[in-house]
Amino acid sequence: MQGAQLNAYRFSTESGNQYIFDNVSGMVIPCPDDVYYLITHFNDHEKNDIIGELKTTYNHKDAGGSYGYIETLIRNGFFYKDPSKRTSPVINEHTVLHTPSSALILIATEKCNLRCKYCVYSDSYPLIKSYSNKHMTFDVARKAIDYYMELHKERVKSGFKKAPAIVFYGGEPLMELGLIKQVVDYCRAKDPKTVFYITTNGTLIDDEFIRLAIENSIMVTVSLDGNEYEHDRKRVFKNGKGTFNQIIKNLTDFQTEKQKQGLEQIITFNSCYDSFTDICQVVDFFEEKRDMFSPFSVFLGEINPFYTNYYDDLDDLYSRGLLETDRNSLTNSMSKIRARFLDDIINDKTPSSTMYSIFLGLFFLKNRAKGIQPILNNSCIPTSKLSVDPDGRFYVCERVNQQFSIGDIDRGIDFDKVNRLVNEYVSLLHENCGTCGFSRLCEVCFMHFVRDNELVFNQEFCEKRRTTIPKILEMVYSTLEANPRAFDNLLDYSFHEAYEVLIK
Amino acid sequence: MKRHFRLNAYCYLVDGLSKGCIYNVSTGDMISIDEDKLNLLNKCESNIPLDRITDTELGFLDTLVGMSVGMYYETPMYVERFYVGQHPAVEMVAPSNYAVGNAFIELDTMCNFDCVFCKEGDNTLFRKTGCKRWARNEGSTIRDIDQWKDILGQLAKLNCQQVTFVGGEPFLQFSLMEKLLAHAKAQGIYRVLIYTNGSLLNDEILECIKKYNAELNVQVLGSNDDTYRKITGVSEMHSKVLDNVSLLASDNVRYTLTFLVNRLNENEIEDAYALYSPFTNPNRIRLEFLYPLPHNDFYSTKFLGLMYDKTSSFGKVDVNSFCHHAKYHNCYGHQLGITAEGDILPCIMSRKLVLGNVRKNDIVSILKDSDYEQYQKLTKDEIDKCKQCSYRYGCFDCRALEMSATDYLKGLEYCNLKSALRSDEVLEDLVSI
Repeated sequence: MQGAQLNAYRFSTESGNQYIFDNVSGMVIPCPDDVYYLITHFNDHEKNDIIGELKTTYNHKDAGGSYGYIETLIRNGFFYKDPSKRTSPVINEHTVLHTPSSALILIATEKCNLRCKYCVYSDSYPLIKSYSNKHMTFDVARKAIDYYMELHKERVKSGFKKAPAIVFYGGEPLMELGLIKQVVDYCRAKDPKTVFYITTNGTLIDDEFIRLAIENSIMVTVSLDGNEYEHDRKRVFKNGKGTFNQIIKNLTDFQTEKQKQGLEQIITFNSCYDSFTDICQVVDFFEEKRDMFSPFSVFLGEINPFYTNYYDDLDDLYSRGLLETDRNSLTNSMSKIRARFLDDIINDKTPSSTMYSIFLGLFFLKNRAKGIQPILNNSCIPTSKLSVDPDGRFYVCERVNQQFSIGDIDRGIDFDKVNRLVNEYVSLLHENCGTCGFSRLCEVCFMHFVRDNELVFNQEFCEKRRTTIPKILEMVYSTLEANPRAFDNLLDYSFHEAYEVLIK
Repeated sequence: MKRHFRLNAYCYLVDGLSKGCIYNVSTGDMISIDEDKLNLLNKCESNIPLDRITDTELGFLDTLVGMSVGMYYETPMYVERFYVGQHPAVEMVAPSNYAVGNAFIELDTMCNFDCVFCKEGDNTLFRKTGCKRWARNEGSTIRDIDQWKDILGQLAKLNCQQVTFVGGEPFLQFSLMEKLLAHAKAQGIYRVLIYTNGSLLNDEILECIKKYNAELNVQVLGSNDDTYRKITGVSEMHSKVLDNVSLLASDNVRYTLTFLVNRLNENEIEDAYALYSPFTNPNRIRLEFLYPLPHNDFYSTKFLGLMYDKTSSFGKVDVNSFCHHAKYHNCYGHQLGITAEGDILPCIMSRKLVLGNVRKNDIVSILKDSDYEQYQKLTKDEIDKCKQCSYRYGCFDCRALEMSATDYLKGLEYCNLKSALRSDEVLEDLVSI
């Protein structure tokens, strides 16, 4: 155990009970003072001294049994690790064929008919390049698909169970409906089981797309931030006019057609919030629209607060009296909705799916993977998702599509580039997260470190996670103390298809 | 101080019909407990305070603390159980890829022995995994080396870690096997196990075994040439097998001996042990049996009790095996069998569960388009007579044997716990309190 350091985090629940999260195994165990004493002194004190201390200070009758308990855990590799030891993952042809997911993301266009206030291409994110008029030609798409389909075939031979997945992304991908139709036809001919996903702002959904989406069971994700006020203050046309009414009209047509045909085709919503959002109103909006949207699910996400002046602009708007809510709206409404959610699950009531989607992270924390930590932790393995820009360059993710190309449609995956990126990323994790007591709970991935043309450790993100992860641990284990089965049966089937692409 | 008691994180409490079992997955121990103690622990696990506990009950809990199996707490605690890998709830959403840990390959079913209980072409099964002269069709037997290489290539892509050659007598096909061993290694499959009757070893075969670091499972049928002749119809085979095993020992080849107990050799176990143990690790000598069903005249009535004694199959249950047994069948969960004619089976002995044929489809397509996953997930929670047994995650299930005896996929014949579960007996073979 020489060089090994404690790699764990002790926390309390609302009842005052103490637990310890073991960052090595991913386990949480009860950790009253005597257990904590044992864990922290185990490596540098003699057994008899520890047992003596347990008897005198902690009034233990059977200190030997308690010692044996912690000894068993530590001998099984719990709590301690040597932070100087590091592994250097290598991504090669074999790794690429054994990824847990597989998707090709086509950046159909970099054009967009909207000018959303928080778009990464907007002036709010000065470090990221601006909108462009680039769009993908079918020739580029075809080459990307050919490459991906071959890769996918090899993945299937290596045990991958799911169908090939094509994701249309933008800009606004429906500005290239012609390309989308060509791609769908081409993929269907290559593999009829191909599944399609599209993320759209919803303003261009028309009869032609509705037909295409229904005929090909395209999983449509619409960016809709909630009620009219909430949505329109952020998501606007180039002329500044809100997009809410147009989207609702289009969605009404889409949903009506599906209902008319008796289809249970799920629709999902990406809903972004900031500190001025009243999250209760967002939840109420989706629940009020349940009859129209069902079956549906909502993914709520915080607007990226890093390297942006978006939040400064909000403060400015507020000071000029142009916002109906204040900067505490999110905090206050989140407390309310959280109380409602926790009350529901503690009392074995199924919360609304919208509410549940906000707190999806709690479910995944409770049901986290345990045992050996994956080398890249919670980040996906590069090449499992292959994002292609209009110029035919490959990227690790649709959110990191301007820096760090990892190959292109003509030459395929460039493993040197992939491994340079991975090593750079792992070095940052090693340097900055090596001693963190809950790093395996952190959802940090490549996109958090991208800055200009290099990867840089994101201190702001880290500080935020260091504040929130302990709170989430406290929340989850307080809930489990009140009802050990609180998180069971929360995933109903309608979520599954939508989550497939999200789970790395 | 003693208001609450909880089992430690590495202990699973499993309910049975009238008994419980604590699985300590850190030590591998199974601790059998009677109904009263099970009820007490169930209350403790629900955080019910120890207000009205008797001295006897307290003594029991103290014993568990002394065994590092549980702890007292002042307040109600949430104690989660240790598992490895993805949580089942998440796995439902994101299923893991197909992977074949161990592939059993049968190059042929021919044998140089003519055992009385293994008539050529008779498909009646009353033994666990091992040799068997299954009905064969020379015309459809795969002889093409390239076809076998292709099969190995497909298995390697499925992360196959081990190939196990069975027969018949696999060394009758030594020339083919040797080429396949080279190909398996080239494909990254490094672990090789070969089931053999031990009679055909020679210098060339020994060199090959050593070169590929293969392990042998040698089946022993008696302690003298006379018994061997009565069983196999071949003379001087005991002496030959004994000599060959001593060669394996002197050449440091890894091997296990399986004494196949039957009516003709049931009185020779001790003699055989005395002959082999001087040069064989006693832990690597084990007993297997011919079983009574379907009805036959070859099983040993003397050892009938042992055949039904499930506790003898109990092994150490560590966290990996506990998690595996809770989700998958102990064999079907991670292995495949490939017959000489190319049939793919969840187990080489489960001849009725044909998933497909490699001459018609590739392995992945066969797994996808068959009932493979259903068999893979055939845990004891699915077996009618096992699902209420508290030992269900610690005992070995030979589905091929049970299915053959009961003619039912989920049947169970060879278990004496069926009655024990309805009585108050405590199993002596377990660590019991």
